[in-house]
Amino acid sequence: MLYRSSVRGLLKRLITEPGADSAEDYARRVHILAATYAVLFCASVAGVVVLAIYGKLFVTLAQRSNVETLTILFLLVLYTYLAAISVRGAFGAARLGFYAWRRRSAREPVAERRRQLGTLDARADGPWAALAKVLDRSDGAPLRFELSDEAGYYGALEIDGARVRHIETASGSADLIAYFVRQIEEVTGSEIPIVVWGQLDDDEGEKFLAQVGFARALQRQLGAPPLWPCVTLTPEHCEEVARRLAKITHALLDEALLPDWEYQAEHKLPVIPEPLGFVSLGRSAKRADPVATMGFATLMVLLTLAVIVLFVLDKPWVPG
Amino acid sequence: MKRALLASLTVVLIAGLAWVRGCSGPRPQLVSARMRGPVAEATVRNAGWGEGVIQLDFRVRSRGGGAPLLRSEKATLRPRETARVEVRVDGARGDEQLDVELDYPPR
Repeated sequence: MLYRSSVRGLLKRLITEPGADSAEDYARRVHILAATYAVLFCASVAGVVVLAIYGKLFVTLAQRSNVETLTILFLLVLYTYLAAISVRGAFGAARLGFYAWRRRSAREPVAERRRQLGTLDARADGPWAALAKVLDRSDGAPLRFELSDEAGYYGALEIDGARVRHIETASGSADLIAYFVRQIEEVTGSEIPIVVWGQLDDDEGEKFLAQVGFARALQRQLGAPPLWPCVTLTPEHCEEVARRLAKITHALLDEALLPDWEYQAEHKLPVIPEPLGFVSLGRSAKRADPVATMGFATLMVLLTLAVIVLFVLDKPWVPG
Repeated sequence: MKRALLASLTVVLIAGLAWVRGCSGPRPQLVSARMRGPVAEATVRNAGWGEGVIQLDFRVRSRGGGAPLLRSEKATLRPRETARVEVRVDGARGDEQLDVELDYPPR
């Protein structure tokens, strides 16, 4: 039981919500993500260049070693695709480094941050998620947490029943919602699972939230205690959560420079491989953070690139 | 979990090193090339620890001009071996210009 919960915790920390534990983790996650995008883009472009320059060698190796020549084309397409989806992130990472350097050398770092905030895209509604429990305030006031500091305003987190939404944001990230919910869990001591991520399955999310809405309407009609599981936040809880949110505003500004590619994740281990495929082990995560998905893609690109470069430097034996 | 990941990584690294050590091809280098009468001769050294079949393309150009004469030869090089590869070119006098190209893997 302990092992299962520790594995689940590890998967959550690594794959689903890597920056949710603390403000330091959140900032670290943003830096790791920026570095990941930069490395992924550079490695993908390097892969395309090496394959293009040494194309004749790889076609010969493929023909001589019974490897499908199409594999080379597949790698070219994979590298091109990954370069295309990481180019904005690599550009964002470069901007992030540039702004960090300017802030360090500026007399008024706040003015630099304000300037950085001014370069962001127009504001719109950001990601949302559905919670297993309804969040309410004990004093009946609306639950809304503004994200701002001396440099400006980064949007707000608005809670409507079981829906958490990042609004008025230039570029929101679903990990902010994960961080927010984790902090509420810590402050209230209640477990509040995130059950649907709006960016990944909005139909399922709306369906779930409609059921929550029905339960709340029925409760009001009956004048009964909450029918749907509910967590009530006191004003003190809200103050503490707002204080914890204020700690990540610097990271939010940097994160807004990076794209937020949200994916689901599925890990399969074929015990008896295809085409028989009688037995395979699988594990899936409803949300995989970009740090996990792009990080894994980066690892794969670096691994294949290392093999390709090794083949160029030290050509393998092939049958005569 | 961390220990398992480290162990897997170590196994992959060792397997990779073993693969490089055991499955490398030759690293052929052309030492010299000359015409010896009607015979074109190339000395080739394998600078690597691998072995395999290499291809030599001989290009014999007559001093008087004209299209070059082409010959190809394949040879198997053992690790760290220096070998001589010869091709007889009928009608050659020995004063032709010789260019030799090495290819691994043979195309």
